[in-house]
Order: sequence, then C-alpha cells, then structure tokens
Amino acid sequence: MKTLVIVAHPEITSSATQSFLREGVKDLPDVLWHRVDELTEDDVQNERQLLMTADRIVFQFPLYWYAAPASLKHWADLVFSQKLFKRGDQYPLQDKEVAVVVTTGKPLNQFQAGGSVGFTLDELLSSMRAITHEAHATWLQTFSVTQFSYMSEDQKMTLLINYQRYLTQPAPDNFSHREKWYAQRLQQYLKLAPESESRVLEMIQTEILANHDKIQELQSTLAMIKEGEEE
Amino acid sequence: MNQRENWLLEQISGLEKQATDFKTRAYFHQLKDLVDEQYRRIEQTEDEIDGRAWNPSEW
Repeated sequence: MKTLVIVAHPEITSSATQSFLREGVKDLPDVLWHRVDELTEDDVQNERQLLMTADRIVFQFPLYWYAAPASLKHWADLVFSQKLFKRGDQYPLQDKEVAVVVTTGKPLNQFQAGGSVGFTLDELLSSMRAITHEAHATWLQTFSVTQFSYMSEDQKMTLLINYQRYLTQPAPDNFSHREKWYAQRLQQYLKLAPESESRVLEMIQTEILANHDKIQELQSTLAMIKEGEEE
Repeated sequence: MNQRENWLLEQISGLEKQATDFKTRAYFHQLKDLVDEQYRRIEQTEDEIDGRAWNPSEW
C-alpha cells in the first residue's frame, strides 16, 4: 500500500512535532512525505499524478484558526478539478482512502461541546470530508497530535508507533490488523538483525502469530456458542 | 501473568534495552503492550467460553 502524506506547514523548520513525525517515517518504503507550501502552477500535473498513484492520501497540517493553513487551500484550489473527481460515470479517486493528521497546541478534550473550543475536530474538518465524499473515496478516522511539547518519553513512543501504523496499517484499525502490522515490522527487523538476535526475533514472531491464531479460534468458538444460545 | 507471557515480555524488554535508536526502542516498547493485550484477550475469551458453557439456565 502506497501512502502519500501531503504536508502543509508554513513554519515547518521550527516545528518540533513535524520534525518528530518526519523522522519517524523517513525509512518506511511505501510512505512519500510531500510538502506543498511552495507549490506553483507548473507542479499541478505532477501533484495529480501523485494523488492517482497513492492508495492512501493523508493531509497533514497544524490547525490555524480552526482550519488548515492557507498553503493547503492554495494547493487544493490549483490541483483539484472536476476531471480529477469525475470522468464520465467514473470516479478516478474512488478507491483511495483519505485521512488527516492534525496537530494542535490545545488538549483534545477541549474539542467538544462544552470545551473551550466547543467543536469537535470532525466538525472543523467537515469541508475535507465533503471533498472526500465528492470523490467517492473513503474517509478514515482523524489522527490528532495534541500538546506534543508536554509529552513524556513514553507518550512520544506511543505517538511514533501509532503514527507509523496510521500511515501504513490497513483500515480499519482493529486488533487483528494491529497484530499483523507488528508481525510485519518484526519481519523487517529480522532481515537486518545479526544472527545472535535473529533467533529471538523469530521466536517472538512465532509466538505473536500463534497468539493471533488462538484469539481468532477462541472468538469463533465463542460466536458459535452465542449463536447456539440464540436459537 | 503466565510463564510464557513472562518469558516473551522479558525477551522483548531485552531487545528494547539493546536498541540504539529511538524508533526501534519505541517499537519494542509498544510491542509489549500488544503482547499484553493478546494474553488478556485469550484469558478473557477463554473465561467467557467457560462461563457460557457452564450456564445452568442452559442445562
């Protein structure tokens, strides 16, 4: 699966959050990190091509006055066209997944009725959902990074892995997909590991996959019992 | 925590400690949470199956 991360951040060099996220995915082979702050009209065809070749399109930006920065709107105004969204009775972007990574200095619990913001992130991002709907593409749950500067080391570790999963793990984000994602990453480590470590990694991988199978089996048994009870 | 889970978590902790970069350390750190949840789910589902199999109202 190819993921295109469209990053809009007018002051990206001074953003610790964006540097952290960038560093976290720079070795992932199927992730293209793509900045759009200095887009010109000459780039438009290339941008459309990038959209067409991606399976998952992720818009990543800080919340500026409860919306995406102007550079992302400028990019969308140049790149989006009727033909990109609909050709005859075909919708060229319909197989894509569309997602948003949004960063903000306010705590997440303020993004709700009664909080200091008073609106949810979903409400604030509704115009992007409308565009996704127009394209007949699939909207994924939003990934928010709030108050990065206050995060502990443990919280940053969780953020990093969740962000990697958000960009590369098949949707929906359920436990079974999570197990498979970790097992695949373990395979990557296995390829690079010295012989002394590879034996342990193999045993861990075997155990994780065996647990995965066991959970599936137990859940199927449980489903059968429940079905029997309903009859 | 059963013996097998304990052993597995110890192995992963060892790899986490040996890791020289933040990304690898973060991966093994989070992997422990996944393993923990796997064993919890196994135990809870087994308990639920036992509970339903021994439900007197079904006798």
